[in-house]
Amino acid sequence: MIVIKNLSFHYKKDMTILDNIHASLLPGHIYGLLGLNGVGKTTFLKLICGLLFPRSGNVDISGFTPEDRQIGFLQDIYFVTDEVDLPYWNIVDYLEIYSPLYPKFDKAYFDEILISLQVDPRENIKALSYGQRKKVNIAFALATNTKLLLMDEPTNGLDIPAKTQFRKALAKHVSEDTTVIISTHQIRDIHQLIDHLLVLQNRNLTLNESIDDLSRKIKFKQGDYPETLYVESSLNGNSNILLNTDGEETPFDIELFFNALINEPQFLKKLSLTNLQAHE
Amino acid sequence: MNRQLNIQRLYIALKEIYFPNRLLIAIFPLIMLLAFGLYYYWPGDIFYQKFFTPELYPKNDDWIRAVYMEQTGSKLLLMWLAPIYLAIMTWGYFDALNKSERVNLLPLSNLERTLAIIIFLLGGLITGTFIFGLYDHLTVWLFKNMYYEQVLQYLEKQGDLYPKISGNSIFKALPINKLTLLSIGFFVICVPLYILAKVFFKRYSIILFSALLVLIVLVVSYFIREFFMYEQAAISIGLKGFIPSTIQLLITMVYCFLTIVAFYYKRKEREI
Repeated sequence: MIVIKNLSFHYKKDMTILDNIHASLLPGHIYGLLGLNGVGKTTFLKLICGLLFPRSGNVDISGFTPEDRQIGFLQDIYFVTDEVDLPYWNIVDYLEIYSPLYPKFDKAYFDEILISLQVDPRENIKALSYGQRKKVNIAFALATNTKLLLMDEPTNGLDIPAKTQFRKALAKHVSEDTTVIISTHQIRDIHQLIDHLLVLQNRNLTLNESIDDLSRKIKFKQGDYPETLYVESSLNGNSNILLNTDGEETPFDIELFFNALINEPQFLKKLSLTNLQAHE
Repeated sequence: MNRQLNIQRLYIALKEIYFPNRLLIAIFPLIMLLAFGLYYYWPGDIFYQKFFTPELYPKNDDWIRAVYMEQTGSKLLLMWLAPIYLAIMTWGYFDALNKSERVNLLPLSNLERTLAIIIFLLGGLITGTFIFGLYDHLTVWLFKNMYYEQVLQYLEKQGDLYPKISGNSIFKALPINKLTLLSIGFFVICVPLYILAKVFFKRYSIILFSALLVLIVLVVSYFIREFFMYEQAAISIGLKGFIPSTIQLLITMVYCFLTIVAFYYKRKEREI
């Protein structure tokens, strides 16, 4: 379990990136971390894995303080960065050297993922394209079987079949004791996997809610509705976000929802009011 | 399992440094051989002249005299090759330690990384010194086989029945104790400074790094001068009158210890 309390961070004193963030992230979920460019998504992930240190507040991951970078903590966390900086070795050598560092590493699973992603395990990493190197890193990350998996734009550079394979592999990876946090702008690539949304906006975590809970409050409809919370024109007509007063189940459109959060400043307030009304 | 130091992880940390450099390591004896070859065939040197302008030595006696007069003590400078080589090999590794998210999230403790670097550098210096010593003795053996008898005969003809062969002649290998001391000098003075420079002076501190590099060169040049010019048998930092040798040794040990500890903690505190 990840417990974040009063987390604040800045690179320069007069430029706060994250301000007083609170959150509890539970295992068994895939969290989608959303936010505009430069809002601090990667910084947030780095603070969780201990690459950056909080200026105030703290992060607790199953009793570990990330900045201590203790072995027990590092053995159970893997961070797939946007930029792949794997050394230019043979994949086999890379595996031979680094896999023993992860006690739950599954070599057969690594080969299986790599083959499904259409990368030859005998290749030299130097000879691979950016997308292929990313595939190697993703395969390695999943094969470590760590309890906490952080991914920063994992589908960047992947070809279409690889995105499908990635979704399958990730769905297989999640279990009751694993937590996956994915930061991405390419939400359509993984929207079926995400079951919880984290939205960073104006230095704060403005939303931390499960898709299930959100679906109980709002629904997505095409057409013209007078009482819409948010509307966006598209080729198929108007896409609306409406209050879900009748418990109707509609596919959750993360992209439209995110646009509503960004473009309609009152949207979150309206959503909060929905909470209050529901409680009353 | 010890959380800070585990032999298997230490082995992996060592492999992590060794693996990308395995080719460079394999060809080091060849590089050193090339350096020796270059040293003896440097333009202007007698062997270079003998090969390219043999007319400079019309008689064999002229050549033998030149061989006898040849001073090769400066070959000690070739000892720089090992530390330079080690710096080249570990440069990228330190950069990765400073910048790479992947490297810093690997389950290797700071202690394991620190030890792996020290073992690698120490091993490199010992191997470098050994290879230097080996080639030095081999070349001396070769020169002795080729010219020693002729030189003695030449000197006898000159009336010098009890010739004294200079310590810097091509017939004398550099003393093992000098090589060992110089190697220790590299290890206790330069290695900690280099490690600290690479860890403390992040990305753009070229000026600071250059300044430290100059300091390293000055320190080592001082030792080489002591060995080479004055043929000192031991390291002296000119403080004997003021500070006893034991204290000097203690100061050196404390300096090494502090730099390694500083490296260890700086690594721990580094944000990536």
